[in-house]
Amino acid sequence: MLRDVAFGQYYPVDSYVHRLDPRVKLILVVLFIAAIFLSSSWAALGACALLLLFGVAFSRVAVSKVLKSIKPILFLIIFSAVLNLLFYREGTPVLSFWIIQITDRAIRFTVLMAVRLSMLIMGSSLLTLTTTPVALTDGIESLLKPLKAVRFPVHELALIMSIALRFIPTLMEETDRIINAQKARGADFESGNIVARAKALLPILIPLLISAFRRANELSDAMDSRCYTGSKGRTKMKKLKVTYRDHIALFVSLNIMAFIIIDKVMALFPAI
Amino acid sequence: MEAIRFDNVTFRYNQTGDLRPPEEVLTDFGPSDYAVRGISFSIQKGEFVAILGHNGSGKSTVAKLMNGLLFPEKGTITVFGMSTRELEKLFEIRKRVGIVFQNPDNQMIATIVEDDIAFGPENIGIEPDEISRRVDWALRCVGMEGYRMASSFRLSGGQKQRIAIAGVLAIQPQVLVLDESTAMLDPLGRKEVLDVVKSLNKQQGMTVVLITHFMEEASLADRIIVLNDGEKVLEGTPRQVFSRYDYLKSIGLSVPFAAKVARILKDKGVPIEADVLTTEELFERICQLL
Repeated sequence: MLRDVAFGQYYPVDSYVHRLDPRVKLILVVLFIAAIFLSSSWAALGACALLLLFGVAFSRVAVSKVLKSIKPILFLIIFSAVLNLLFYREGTPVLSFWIIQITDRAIRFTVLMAVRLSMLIMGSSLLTLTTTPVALTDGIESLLKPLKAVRFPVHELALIMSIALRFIPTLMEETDRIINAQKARGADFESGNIVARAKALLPILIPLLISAFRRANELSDAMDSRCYTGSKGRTKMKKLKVTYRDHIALFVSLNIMAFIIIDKVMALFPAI
Repeated sequence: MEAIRFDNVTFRYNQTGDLRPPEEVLTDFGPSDYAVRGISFSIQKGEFVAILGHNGSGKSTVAKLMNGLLFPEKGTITVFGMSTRELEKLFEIRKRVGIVFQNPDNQMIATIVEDDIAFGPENIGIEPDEISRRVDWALRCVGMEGYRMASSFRLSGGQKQRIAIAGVLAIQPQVLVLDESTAMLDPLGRKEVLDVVKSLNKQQGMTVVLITHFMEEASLADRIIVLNDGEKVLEGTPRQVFSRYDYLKSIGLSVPFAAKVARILKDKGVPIEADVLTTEELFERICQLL
């Protein structure tokens, strides 16, 4: 899964969504997540689904890719669904045997939560599928820029993030290599109780840590050699630019979200 | 014009972990504690110089001294007239002397090729459009035009190292230092990198300092400086250096394969001159004898 976070994710095609400004995409995802949890009616949830559908359609990402993103948290969705079904006690019982009682509202709530969670994951993975890690960190850096006023090291944080992403595949490879090397020396990672197994990890972690420090040392030499002196006097090759595409995407999304908010308000105050 | 000059340079790593300068630490340093001892040489602009030595001979230390990653304990290093000791000149020195290191994985900052190459020019404050042009140019120089949007971890070792060279070239340095940049590559990757380096030197007049322990690589240079235990022991053209077969052997180095064969033939009484460098040359000399 870590591998996916690092690179398997980005889906390299050229599409409307790919070309959106990463800042706009980040904001839209945050708003989308908020909208999902505001939607309590089927109509509102349908609006969210519509928005997600638009996103997937205009991203040219294979639908199977988007659906697959749910896989890592499938267990969580099922687990919470079972709990909701069993312990949500309001409403009229439709099914009851032994100590189990399932109400109509429990079913509704369970389905609602499952749909919410799946849409949440699909929406946010659409972001990482259509945005390169560097664009993403650039976007975060730009959005956090106001924090510079309070001396928050925005540029450094963004650089740390992109270096961390860059080194995940390298360190994964290294881990595989160390595991194989230790296995070849007779190390046993599969047997024994939990304490024994945790102890067996030590011969992997120590070489990995040492190697990570060595790499960091070499990387800092390479960065120094390439004239890195911090954010001062630094330029950027890719300037983030908000274009008509972003305006259209924002306009459509904000309209749909406005509908969701109105729907929520109407549900809270039926008198209006 | 003189690009880099070493004057009687001495350097030692502080092995006690003490952060004070070595002269303030009261420990007994033997002569073997010095990584570099009294080295002097000069590299002219446009030259292709190889620095040859076995492991621990001080050659990587020499590379790091060249752009102020390390500072000499004694002696001075002058880069285009600027001493590396002047901290305010360090940025200018590093703009002129770019180093490509051994492990390509440990010198890439970004995942996508173009972002990595842009890192250097971004650091020195180039305009965005110009950076983009430089990225294209640098990729053309190393023959990787089609890889601008590629992910670095999907590339082969030789390709990664060529990207690392492009990343340094994009700063448009005057001197390209390769610190054992081919040591971790397979023969094919090594050839890719060397071809790029040769063409940079011949076609663009780039000053190249190739630090290596491969004899065949060193024979590509105009001049070879041989280091042993932190001291400069030989300096001259590849032919001059590799004619000292017995001496090189005594300090744990060898000579290129062709020179070795020629030498063995000569020892066996074949009337052949031993100063050959390439197998083609050897082939011709043997043909002349027949």
